Amino acid sequence: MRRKSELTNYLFILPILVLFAVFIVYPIVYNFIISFFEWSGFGPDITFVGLENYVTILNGKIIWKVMHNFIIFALITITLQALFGMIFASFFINNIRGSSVYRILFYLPAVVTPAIIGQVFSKFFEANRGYLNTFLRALHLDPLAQTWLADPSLALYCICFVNIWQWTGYSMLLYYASMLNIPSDLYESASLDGANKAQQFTRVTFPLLRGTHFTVFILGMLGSLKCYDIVFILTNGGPNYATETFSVYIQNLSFSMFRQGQSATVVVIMFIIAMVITAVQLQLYYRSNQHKELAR
Amino acid sequence: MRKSICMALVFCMLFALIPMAFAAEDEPVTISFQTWNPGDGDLIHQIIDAFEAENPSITIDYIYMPYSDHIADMQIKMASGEGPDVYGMQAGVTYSTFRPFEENLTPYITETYGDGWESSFLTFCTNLLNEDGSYYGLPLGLTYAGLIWADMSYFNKYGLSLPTNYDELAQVAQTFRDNGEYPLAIGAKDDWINIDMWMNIAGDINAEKLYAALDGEISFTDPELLQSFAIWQSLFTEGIVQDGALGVNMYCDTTDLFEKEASIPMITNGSWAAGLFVSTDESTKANFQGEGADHQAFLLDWNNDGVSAGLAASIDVVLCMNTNCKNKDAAWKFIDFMIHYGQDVLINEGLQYFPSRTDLVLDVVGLNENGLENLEFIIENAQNNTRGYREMGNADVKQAVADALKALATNEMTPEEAAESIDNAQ
Repeated sequence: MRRKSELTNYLFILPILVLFAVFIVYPIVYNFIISFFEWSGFGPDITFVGLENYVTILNGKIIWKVMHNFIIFALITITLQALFGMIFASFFINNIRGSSVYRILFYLPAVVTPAIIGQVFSKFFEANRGYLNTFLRALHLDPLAQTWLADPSLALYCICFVNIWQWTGYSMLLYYASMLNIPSDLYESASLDGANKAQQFTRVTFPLLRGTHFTVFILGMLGSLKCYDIVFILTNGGPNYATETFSVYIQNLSFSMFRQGQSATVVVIMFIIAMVITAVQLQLYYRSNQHKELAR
Repeated sequence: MRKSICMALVFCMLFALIPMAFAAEDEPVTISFQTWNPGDGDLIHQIIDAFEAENPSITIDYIYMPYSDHIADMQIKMASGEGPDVYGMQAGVTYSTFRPFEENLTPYITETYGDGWESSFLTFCTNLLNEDGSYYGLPLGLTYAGLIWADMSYFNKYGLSLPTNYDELAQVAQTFRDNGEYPLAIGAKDDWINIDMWMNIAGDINAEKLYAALDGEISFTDPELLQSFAIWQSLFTEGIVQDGALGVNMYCDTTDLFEKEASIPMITNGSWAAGLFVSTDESTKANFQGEGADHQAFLLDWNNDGVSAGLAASIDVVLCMNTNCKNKDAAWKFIDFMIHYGQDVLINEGLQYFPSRTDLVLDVVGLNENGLENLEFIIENAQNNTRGYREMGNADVKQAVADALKALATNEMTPEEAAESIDNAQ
């Protein structure tokens, strides 16, 4: 009877398991297998090359440039998005005048098509007649007018800027929703104990947003890993791989170089990085016994 | 009796099949045609309408895609066993990479055009497309790279003449800069224009060595090739091209400035820009066909040796048939039509290419005097001053060259390091 009941339970989840296997597990396994082959991605000639693709990719300069860009991009965007998101959420939670309108305005960039954002900011950063440099020159700040997206030392930070502009509203919304769930009597108690606003934020609000910090961090990390659209439109990974990301590198290997095997290798590397980050995240998150209980 | 009935039934079935056999020939078929070029404009629809009028049982499903999307889309479709029946392909790496999905057109060609058909196409085209005696595509038209286009109104405004060599180009560029204008404009975010310009420089210095190096016969560290890298680098380090060139692409960030806004004096581009003289776009028309419009295509003597650079030729679009096409005869009819009537229209009404057929008479409709002057300049150089092919056949070398050129432009590599990096890719 019990066995029949268990079987029935499995039958209920079978459809989703099949979908998961077909659309998630199979592509991952297939990609892993392809990483051991030399293949154009669409032709009939496919040759087993063992670990040669891994050796080629890891011995090349581009993958290390990509990893460097990923670390810089992730650290800057996650930190600043979280910081600004928290600050803006703090303002809105205190019901400043017009906060409902501002919340919408802050969130709007997150829903705009990346292609549109890319086109607008490419005009913004253009060196000769772009909006930014034109503005700076109008203020007689010519030395500050740079070649932005064409400068390898600045291009990545320009992309970080665009990303922060686009996604801070999303972080703000996550923090705002979490802050709504913090009981107000905690602030009353803190106030009675003599805590000022800053102390209430650091001793009450910030610690209780722990779950949201991890959420913002994990989403930010995975988003940085997958970052493609803005980079493709603004710089296509240039100049000279200064803004190359995993996704752009994979796309170039697959569709420009016709090296599906090497492209699959980069995907495997990306997958390993994502798994390590997620595992470390979860380990830190569940370090506290309280959260382990909640997870049960 | 039973046997008679069976025989009667067999005969009935046979008679029933006869109309079906005839019907199969006239049965409506749809041929899908995907390409980035010709683009989605009046001319291609005019050609398709004409084809469909001549072949009422064949409908053409035209799919336009920008080039980078076209290649990626084709890869995915071909891998899944689909893909368009007829498609455009660029000569070079992609033409050879997509070979498993390119139908061998040789039987169709010889049946339709007969023996000696090669003489009806330019030798350059047949040589480029010949794969051990087989042809997997036909050339829709030729283009030539390495030109610089000038808006003479700027030169007249500042009392300048068209530069003939590198030193004069540097002076002209500086004069434009001093007056708040763009110097030479290039969309250096795009690898193809960088390669075009560098090959023009290297071809001017020593075309033989350039192509020997590309074919792996000599090293890129040859002094004359190093000189070409140094000249290319100086375009950026000496301010001969505009600031931030690496951050903008050709189409349409840079070309719009020249073609539609008429706000820059010079731009690097190819022979396909001659189509601007017959463009139907209102802004372009005003700039190129309006009263007093004066634009000049020119070639430069990059190494100041008294001899100007030549052109690099390419087959801009090779028309191929999908091996998985289910209506190959209909697809061939369309390819044949495009190569003849289509090419006539695209060239003589749109000036989108130059002829790949030897029998095509160049008689461009609606060309003004300035356009005619530029057309004659291009034709003269195409016939007498073409240094070699434009499209590299080795994807690794092409990518290495593209990377090296960008590294040189950002001053992150010396010419020697650039040459070494390309040699390593061979």
